[in-house]
Order: sequence, then structure tokens, then C-alpha cells
Amino acid sequence: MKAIHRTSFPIMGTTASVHVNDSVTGCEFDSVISELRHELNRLEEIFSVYRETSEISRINAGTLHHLDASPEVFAVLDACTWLEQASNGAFSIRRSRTESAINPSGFVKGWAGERSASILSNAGFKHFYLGIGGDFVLRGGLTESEPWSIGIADPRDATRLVATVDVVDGAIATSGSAERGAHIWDPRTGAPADEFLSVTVTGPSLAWADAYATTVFVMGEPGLEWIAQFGQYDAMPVRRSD
Amino acid sequence: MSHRKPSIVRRIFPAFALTTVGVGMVHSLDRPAIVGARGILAPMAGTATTTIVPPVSNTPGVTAAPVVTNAPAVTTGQTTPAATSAPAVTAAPVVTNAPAVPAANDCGALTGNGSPVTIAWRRDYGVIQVTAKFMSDGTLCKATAQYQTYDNRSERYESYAIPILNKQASNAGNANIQGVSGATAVSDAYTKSLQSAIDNRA
Repeated sequence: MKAIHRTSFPIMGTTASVHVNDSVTGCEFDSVISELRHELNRLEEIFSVYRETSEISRINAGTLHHLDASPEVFAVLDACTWLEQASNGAFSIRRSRTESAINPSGFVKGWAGERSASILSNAGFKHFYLGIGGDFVLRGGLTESEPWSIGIADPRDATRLVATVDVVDGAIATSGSAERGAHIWDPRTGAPADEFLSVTVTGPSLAWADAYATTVFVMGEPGLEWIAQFGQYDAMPVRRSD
Repeated sequence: MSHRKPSIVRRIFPAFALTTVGVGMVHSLDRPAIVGARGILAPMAGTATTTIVPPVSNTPGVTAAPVVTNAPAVTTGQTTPAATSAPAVTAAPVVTNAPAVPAANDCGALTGNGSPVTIAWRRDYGVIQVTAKFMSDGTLCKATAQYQTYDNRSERYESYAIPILNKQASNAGNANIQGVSGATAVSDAYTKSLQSAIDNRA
């Protein structure tokens, strides 16, 4: 019999939630979730700027050269470098141009979510989502005939929705949130980005949907034209004037 | 021995030809094929099937901004990187009319009370506690949440977010929303309390 399995657990300063709608036993589900948590914890160990022993902290302290870092760090820094160039600096892992310390945690959350979601696919789960802090990797729809339906919170009032998004396979990420307040900085100016209230991006990859949402949020209106070059990604902003 | 002296053209042609080839090679080295730090990133594969539905009717004054559509096609292999871990994404049709879920026969045969969980992000919004009913086989069939607010603004959780979460937990009705993007505190707290209600069912 098909049953919905779900669980949530704290990770990377937020909550991860997993929703699986497949014929699996509770025991199988728990075992896969344990593997998922282990992987996410491992990635948090590598990337957390709050842990002195993380590779990012050691790179910032000058005790580890980024070329000697693990393949995971190399992949993340490579992707972040690409996006920094592609966005003319609107996306950066440095808070401002004068800053030398790197903090890729804004990219890592989505990247880690997408990467670890493959644990659920590899376990044979067909209909599932993994959400980390309100950003989702979705696979297979709720059932064969129903998509996943995800609400987009109103950034002025998190108790309301501005839209719902139906996704069968893909990702959805929102940058800018009522609950978190101003927390996205424009690395080009060092000031908080404030043109949009929030930007939601959908597309095939959570790593890129999340990073593009942050980038478009920083860019403002020009960001909507910028993201159009990535044909599979759509952006929906909530404007101050809406 | 008499050799015919090579013509001026024969003497100059090889030098001219080699110079042309050399200039061509240097020029091609000056122009790398791919610009950008793509490194170990793999080209994007597949497509996502996403649709953005118009704003829900009971959100007055808010309009979902138009989605960027008909984006010009680009060679994604050169401009859109995908993380190496990205699984292949397959396109599938989006179906909007969800079939009704059959009604439960003995809903309430088991019940479970969830732990009270604080809705918190930087400040506390309130406390939520889920009570759940189950069928005799243990399947969750109805969830209700008690909510104690700390201020007036948070009361609106009661009017919108919590009914959505109750519906999603009970899997009842067609207007089913499985998650909320951009608001984590209330759904996190709800999920934790619901999980403890499931664990405590008897």
C-alpha cells in the first residue's frame, strides 16, 4: 500500500523536510533518511563558516589552499566563480569587493540539497521532495497523475501566498523572505539589496534555481532579462509596488 | 653543370605561405573556444516541467508578476552549467486536476497529540500544537492545529497558513499544497508537532 512518509530535521541553520509518496516500509524510509542526514551533515562540516575546522574556515584562515581542498569545495568554488563572472559580480561569495574571506553558504544550501536528493532517487524513491529552508527539489510529482504543488509565501506576510507552483520534476527556490528580514547584500555596493521583496525561481536544478534567485534579487529589474538567457529557468519577483 | 635559377616567385612563395600559416596558428591560440570558468561543470541535461499558477483568490491586492517566458534558446552546454551532482531531469506532463482522495471509513480510530512547538525565526511568533486522527491501519486522516499567538500580526497564521498545513497533512481536498517556498518557520514548527503526533498515535 502506498503511504506518505515525511520527516524533518535541522540542518545548515534551517530545517530540512522530506516527503516521500512511494510504497516503502517505514524501516526502509528511516534507513534512507539516515543516509541523507549523514551526507548533509558531512557537507555542513566541510562548508560551515561557523566551524573552525571546516575547509572554508581553513581557506579563510590561510591554512588550506583552495586547490588542496576536497572535490566538493572545488566544485562549489568553480560554480560560484562561473556565476560571479556571468552576473558581472551581482553574485559573489565575498560580501564586498574589498573582502577577502569567502562564504559560499548561500550557494551550498541549494547545491547540497540537490546533490543529496540523489540519495533518495538512488534508493528507488519515485515521488518525493526534499526541502531545505523553503527551497525544494521535487521528483516524480505527488503521484503519477498529480504534480507537487508548492505555495509561494507573501514576503510581506508569511501567512499568505502570492501564487502556487505546480512541479513534476524540478526545483523551486525563493530569495528574500519576511521571516528572515534583509539578509541579501549586493556585493557590488556592500549595501543590502532592496529593489524586490522576493524572487522565486523555478528550473531543473536547485543549485542553480537558488543561486539565480539570489542573483536576480540583487540585480533587480535587469535581473529578469539576465535570467532569460537560461532558457529552463523562470523568475517571479514580488515587487514593492505589487 | 647548369642550373636554372629559381624564379623570384618560387623563392618567395614558401616564405609567404609559411608566414600565413604561422599567423593563423598564433591567431587561433589567442581565441580560446570557451569563455568562462566552466571547469569541471557538466552541460545541463533535460528540462523542468514547471508552471506558475495565478495568485490565489483570497490574497487581495497581490498579483504574481509575469513570469519570464519564451526565453531565447541558448546553447546551454556553454552558458548554463550544472553541478556535477545534478541528476538528469525528465520532462513529464503537469496535471492540474487532482483526483479526489477516497474518504476514510474509520477516521478517528486512533488519535495522537503532538508536542507544542514554538514558531521561531529570530523572534518567537507563537506556539503550535497538532492533534491528529488516524484510521485503524495507522494512516493519518485528519490534522488540526491549536495555535497560541504572541502578537496580532501572527494571528494571520491561523487564517491562512495553518488551514493549508492541515489540509496537506490530511491529504484532503483538491487544493492541496505540499509545501511553501519562502516561509519556513510556521511549516517547520507544524511539521515537528505533526511528527510527534504521528509518533504518539494510539
